[in-house]
Amino acid sequence: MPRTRALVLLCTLAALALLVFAWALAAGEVQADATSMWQALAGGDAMGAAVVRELRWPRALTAFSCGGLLALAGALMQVLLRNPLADPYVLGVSGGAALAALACLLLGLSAPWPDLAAFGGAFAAMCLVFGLARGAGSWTPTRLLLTGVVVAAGCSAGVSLMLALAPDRALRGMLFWLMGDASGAPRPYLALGVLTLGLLVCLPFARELNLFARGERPAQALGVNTARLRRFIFLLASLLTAVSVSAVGSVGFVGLVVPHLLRLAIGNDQRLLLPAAALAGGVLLLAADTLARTVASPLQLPVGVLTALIGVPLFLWLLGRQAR
Amino acid sequence: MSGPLLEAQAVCVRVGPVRAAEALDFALHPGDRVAVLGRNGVGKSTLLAALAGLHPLAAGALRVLGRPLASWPARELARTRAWLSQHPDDPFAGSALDAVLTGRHPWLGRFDWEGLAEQQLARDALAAMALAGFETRNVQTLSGGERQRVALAAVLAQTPRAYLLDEPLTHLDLASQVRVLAHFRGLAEAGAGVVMVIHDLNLALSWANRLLLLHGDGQWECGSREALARPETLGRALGFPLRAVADGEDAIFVPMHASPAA
Repeated sequence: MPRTRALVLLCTLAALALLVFAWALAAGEVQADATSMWQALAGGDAMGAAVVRELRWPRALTAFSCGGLLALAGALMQVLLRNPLADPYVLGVSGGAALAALACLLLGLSAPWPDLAAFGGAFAAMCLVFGLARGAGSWTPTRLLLTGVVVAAGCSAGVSLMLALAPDRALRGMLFWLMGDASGAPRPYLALGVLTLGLLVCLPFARELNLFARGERPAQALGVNTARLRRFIFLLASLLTAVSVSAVGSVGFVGLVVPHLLRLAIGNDQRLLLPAAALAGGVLLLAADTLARTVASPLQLPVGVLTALIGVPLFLWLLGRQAR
Repeated sequence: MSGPLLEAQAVCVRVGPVRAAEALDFALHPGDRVAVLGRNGVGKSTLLAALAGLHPLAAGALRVLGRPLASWPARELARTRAWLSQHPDDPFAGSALDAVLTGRHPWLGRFDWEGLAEQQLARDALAAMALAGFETRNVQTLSGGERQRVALAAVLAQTPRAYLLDEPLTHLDLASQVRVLAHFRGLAEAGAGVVMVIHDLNLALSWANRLLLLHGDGQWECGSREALARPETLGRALGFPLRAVADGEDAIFVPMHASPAA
């Protein structure tokens, strides 16, 4: 049965996550072996312990958690819109976040203001989209998608305007924010906590999500409170995205590619797909971030560029495979 | 239980400018096989969805097993009545068995997984729709008729007492149409009530013991097949003049100008 296969996959992903964590902690200018890594995390003050404990560990945790958040949000959005090509940003959440965060950067406000503003902007965009899409009473995935796309386009225009107006000294920070960057690593435990909590609250609804993915009215006929479930998915997915965007900026393709890849491997049962997406998303973003800071060291590449570089060919290949 | 499975009292169903039924009185008893007939866009699907509790009533009251519909918890209701969508849709790939297992949802607790008993039920439902061996097939690669039979199997796996089926014969070949009708006739004889929207008049008459005719603009007629199977009545509901051709055993209805004798 695919169920055992799926459990094997979950365990494999967990093991992979540990491996990638070890790599992320060890790799960099200051090399760390297994013992010094362990000592560093346990609070020792050997050579490089501070680097591992205070720089790499929070950064790794942030990258992993945000990858998980994005993949989980992507999987939920795909169910909500009944469209395998939906991603966490499709409803304008990242556009709203970017607009607000860049406004802060443009005004020269320092941390934590851009992060807080990003969260507020994401939340505002989300309320705007859901409010507008519900406006006329009828609610369809197409209507929601169109509203999201239009709001996202509006935000994108605002972002371009701000970039055009920005003085040179603010520009670099703004661009890095837009491309996604885990180096700041603010509040790593918050992202991890939200990821864990998000997974825990959506798992009890996983079978209902399976039905929802097959159509709203058929799900309703099978006893699912679809109106409540729809609001719940929308809110949860938007919150997960907002937390991630405010921590690492808009990192593309994780939320799109990870659920899609997993669906090919284990099918579309949300009871397995959601935890698998959280793990695999984390692994992908953590690996990409570690690559981003080591591959051209001492230069740090924005992690969003790397996920896109991995994601674009992977996705095109998947799409081509599917068409056959 | 001798009371009706489903009872509509003075029910008005509207959608946009369309009045599907005004002041409809209708009861579905165990053993009933009801065919809903009417022209395109007259509101058959909306009426069926309303009877299933999925479309708000403009007026009137619905009772299921004597209890007002609104007082039913959704999952308990789903164990009692099933509704088949006219448009099965699969945006995601998945096995036929998983699609059929969705019918077991109302019978499972929040954290339950489908066990061997559920799987067996789903396999039996697939076999009843002549889809044995299709369990692991991806629903997105099935033909329209096969996909429709998977949807019907999911409804069977739901094991309700009342079946509300919106065009269950869509895309089916003749043999499948006859098999599906025979299966639901068997379920009705075992105590279920079945309502179907059907466009094939003669298949409908061969299967149903009662007819619900929607004439448009909210007008309706409900009665036994014998009472309503007259060319004028059916012709009015379907918006085309009909004539009956009988061979002593069966009567079929054919459109006036399409008949060779006309």
